Amino acid sequence: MEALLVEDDNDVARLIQLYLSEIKVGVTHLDSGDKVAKHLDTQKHPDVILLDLMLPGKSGFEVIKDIKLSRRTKHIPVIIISSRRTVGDLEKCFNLGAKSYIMKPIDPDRLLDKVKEHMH
Amino acid sequence: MTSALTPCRSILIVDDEASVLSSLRRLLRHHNRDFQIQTVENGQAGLNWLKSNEAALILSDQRMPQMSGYEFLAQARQLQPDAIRVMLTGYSELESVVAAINEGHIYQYITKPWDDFQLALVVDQCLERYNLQKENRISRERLLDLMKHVNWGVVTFASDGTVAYVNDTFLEFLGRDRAEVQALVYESLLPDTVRHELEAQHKSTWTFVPNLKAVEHSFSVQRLGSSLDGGPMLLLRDRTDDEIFASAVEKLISNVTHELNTPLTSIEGYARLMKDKKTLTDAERFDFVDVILRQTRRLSGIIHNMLNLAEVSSGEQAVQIVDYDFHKMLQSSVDAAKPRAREKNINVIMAEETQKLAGQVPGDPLRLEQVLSNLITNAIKYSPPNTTITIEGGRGEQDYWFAVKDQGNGIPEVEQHKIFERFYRIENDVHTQEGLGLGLSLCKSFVDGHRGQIQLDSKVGKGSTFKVVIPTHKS
Repeated sequence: MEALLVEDDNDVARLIQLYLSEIKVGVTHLDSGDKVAKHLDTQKHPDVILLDLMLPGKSGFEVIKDIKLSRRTKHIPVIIISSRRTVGDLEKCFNLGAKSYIMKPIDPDRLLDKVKEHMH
Repeated sequence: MTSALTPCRSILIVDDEASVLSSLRRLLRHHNRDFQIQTVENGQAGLNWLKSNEAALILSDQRMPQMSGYEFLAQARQLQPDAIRVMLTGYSELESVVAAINEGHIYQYITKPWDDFQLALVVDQCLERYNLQKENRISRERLLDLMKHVNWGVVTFASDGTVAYVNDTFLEFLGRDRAEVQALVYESLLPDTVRHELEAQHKSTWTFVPNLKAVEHSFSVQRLGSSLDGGPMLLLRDRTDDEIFASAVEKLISNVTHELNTPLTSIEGYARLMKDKKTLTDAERFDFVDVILRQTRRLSGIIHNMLNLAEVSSGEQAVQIVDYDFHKMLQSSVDAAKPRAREKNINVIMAEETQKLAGQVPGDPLRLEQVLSNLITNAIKYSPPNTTITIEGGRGEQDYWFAVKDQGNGIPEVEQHKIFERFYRIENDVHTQEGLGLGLSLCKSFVDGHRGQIQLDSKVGKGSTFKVVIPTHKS
């Protein structure tokens, strides 16, 4: 299984990679929202996308909107991983089509549970 | 201490017969020791006294040479309209008493010879009346003064809905003049929705763009039942500033949460990994501890910045001027920034000329090093990889300066004057680069503390130069 991780903080990205390696999920890491569209256009689609909200370039909100608007990518489940925690942020993400919302600091059990939900 | 509302017991008695004056004085003293009694023998002396003294009661004989009691009291009325005027008169002069009463010059008369008890009673009544009137007038003036200067808009309506009273603040809120507002009625002044809400719960919010103003203002409106004018009374408070403040606080909390959570995520995560992972190589262990330490430093940097800012805003910040080694301060800031810059592949260098600087300059080396470090950190934050940040410094006759020059994105001209404001961050970057937007406002406070200047020269796409100039003359 393959996950695409969009996260601007390298330490956090590596942490998530380490967590996911425990359940044998491979991770491709992008550090900006701007790189997502091109990656999805040219590379094999991931089984799940893990998306931070506060990103350089395109914000996480814009990224998920793009993913869900494209017929080619709208089926890919998106899990938000963010330190934003207002009801408004959560609602906005779910309205845009997010599957789950994981708050930072990350609870690894919850992260692994949510990712496993999308494993075939 | 006497206030405007302390009862006045000052009595002026005018009579040309010295025996009358002394017997009245004795009688009233005996009746009430608090009375302050002034006696004069003619009208002119009475008028002179009134020019510089307050009288609650003026008691005057009618028949006097030169100026009659009637004439004196008419003129006394001009000087002190509120003083209660009473005429002392014999039965033969009742005609002039009637005229004086009809013309409003006197309130009462007492016939000679008087009855002591009756006279004391009249004097008490007159003083009470005077003090009640005075209290009433002062309360009214205070109320009007309050309504005039309070930063609430006040408007009262008569029972038919016309505007009865409106204060200046209300006119200012609406951006209209008095005549315009006075031509309105209750129904036409407020929009229906606001009016209905006021009738249901006495409170509402009224949002509109006032005349001559560019932005929308938001007012909380309170409706008090019937005013003295017969109709309702409305109180308006401008809450536009409150809302701006609330949204700034909200933004701050959201930024603080993000800022604190990002390092915490790594610290907690890597510590957990070290605890849970069964096999860990030495290299991994070293690596994880390194992340934890780095992120802890970042966290304490954020907290340090916030504490500094709290000090500045509570006025505790003092700059302590000493002579210090200028070059050493520059070098130490540059050295401190290097590891961080290396992570992003950015080169931080000191200009060649600057390396040759020597000697001491006056200033607070700790604060100025913070300023320089903040500026360098900012430059690193906003610079793309593989660029160079140059630190320059120099000395003039009356000042010395240092500057941080980057090859970053630059700051749009419209944003340039705002960047030293607290919590400001370049709008597009709010959710991207780390930082609370506190750094530059702190820098400015520290530089201000030196009576110095911080200047910005920036072009989008070319980079920015922040220059700090510190005067050397001691004041």
